[in-house]
Amino acid sequence: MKLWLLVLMLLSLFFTGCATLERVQPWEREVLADPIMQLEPDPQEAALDEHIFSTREGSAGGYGAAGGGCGCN
Amino acid sequence: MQLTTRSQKLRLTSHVSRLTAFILIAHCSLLIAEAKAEDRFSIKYQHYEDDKSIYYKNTKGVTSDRWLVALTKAITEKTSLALNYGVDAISSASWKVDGVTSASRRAGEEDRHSGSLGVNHTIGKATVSAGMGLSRENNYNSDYVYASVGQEFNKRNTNVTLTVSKAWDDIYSTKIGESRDFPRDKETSTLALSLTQTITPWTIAAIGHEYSTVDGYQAHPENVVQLSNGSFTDELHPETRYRNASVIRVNQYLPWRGAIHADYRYYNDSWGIDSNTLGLKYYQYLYSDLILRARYRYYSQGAADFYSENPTTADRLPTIDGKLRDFDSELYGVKFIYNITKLANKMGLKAAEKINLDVKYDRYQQLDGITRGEDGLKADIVQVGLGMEF
Repeated sequence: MKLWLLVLMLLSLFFTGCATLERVQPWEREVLADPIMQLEPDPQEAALDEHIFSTREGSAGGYGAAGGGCGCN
Repeated sequence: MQLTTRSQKLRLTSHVSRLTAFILIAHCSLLIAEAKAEDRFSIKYQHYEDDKSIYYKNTKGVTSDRWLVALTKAITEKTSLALNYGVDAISSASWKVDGVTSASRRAGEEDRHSGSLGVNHTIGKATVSAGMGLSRENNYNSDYVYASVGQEFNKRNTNVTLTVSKAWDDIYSTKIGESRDFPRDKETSTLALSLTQTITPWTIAAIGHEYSTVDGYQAHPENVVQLSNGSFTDELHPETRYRNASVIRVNQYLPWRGAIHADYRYYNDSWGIDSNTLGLKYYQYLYSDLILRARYRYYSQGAADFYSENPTTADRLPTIDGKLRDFDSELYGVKFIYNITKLANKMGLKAAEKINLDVKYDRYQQLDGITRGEDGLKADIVQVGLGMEF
């Protein structure tokens, strides 16, 4: 329950913060379009990493890499 | 046909529901199929090698070779299909637990094949995606479906995406002398919400939360636990698990053609595990067509409530799963991304508008040498990839 409250608070902060932000205009997006500024520049690498971590650690998820299967070794 | 056991009934229900989901998604894919945007092809090879088992102490580790192939094909200006295929060859040490006739066993060689088909469709400032996939191993089958809806607003500075997915797994046992009832089932339902926001022309941030429920068999059929009195028993885990993961990410561009990516994840679940993960990546253009990336990741988790280093007969859920213990880990590595489009054009190869080659090396290490009386697991990870945009 506490975690949900924390998430809600963070989301509220994010949204209220967004509302006060100056909008980035389309002609100001050159840097944001650079490959090194993408949130997930290499989805295959992200999927491979997520598989390694989820088969060696007790945590999983949160980064958006979907998939199935075990490959538990 | 008489369905005698609850397990059989559950499996039939599960097969019917996954078949229905597949038919619905395949039908939707055909309905919105119409042709043109950006086509991409990529292939990635990974070699993974570690030095010890996370299940049995003083046992050799695992080597795996994995190939992933992905193709994104635009079929209209607003619709694209995504196809993925992967194959793993896993080699692990076969072992036995002394003194047990029905010894624990893992195959020396295992193959895993996986594939998925997805469709993305843009409607105004919204993107709708749906897909399905499967994975096959000698002792583990998994089928899954997913759907997501993303909406941009605030002059495309804000994006909110909601994703739902469902997976159905069948678990088989390869344990020598198995007498329990297999296969067993597991169902995983996941709900994820993320919000991405451009903060300045040089800064972008994202926040997300993922909640999943897992119902069914979650232990490893071949794992045998040696109890403190010298006797042996099968591994047991709870059959329900609720998992939460919250992530925040920030990418900041730097004036010398570099960028830093920082992410933090807080995770907890109903088994009592909680963890903190911090990731840092630094990108730097060395030349206009060559990028260097350096990376560091730190991870720290607490043990599951039922985990014990030395299980006794009093433990109702005995386990040797090292993923459930208290430990930290770190990973550091380097990656090079080389845009070879100009070179390819000079050589007269004009197969694609953009061609990238990438190679990376990561070193992963678990830091719990003192608590387990031995060095923590160490792994080397090498990846080589080729990506083309048409």
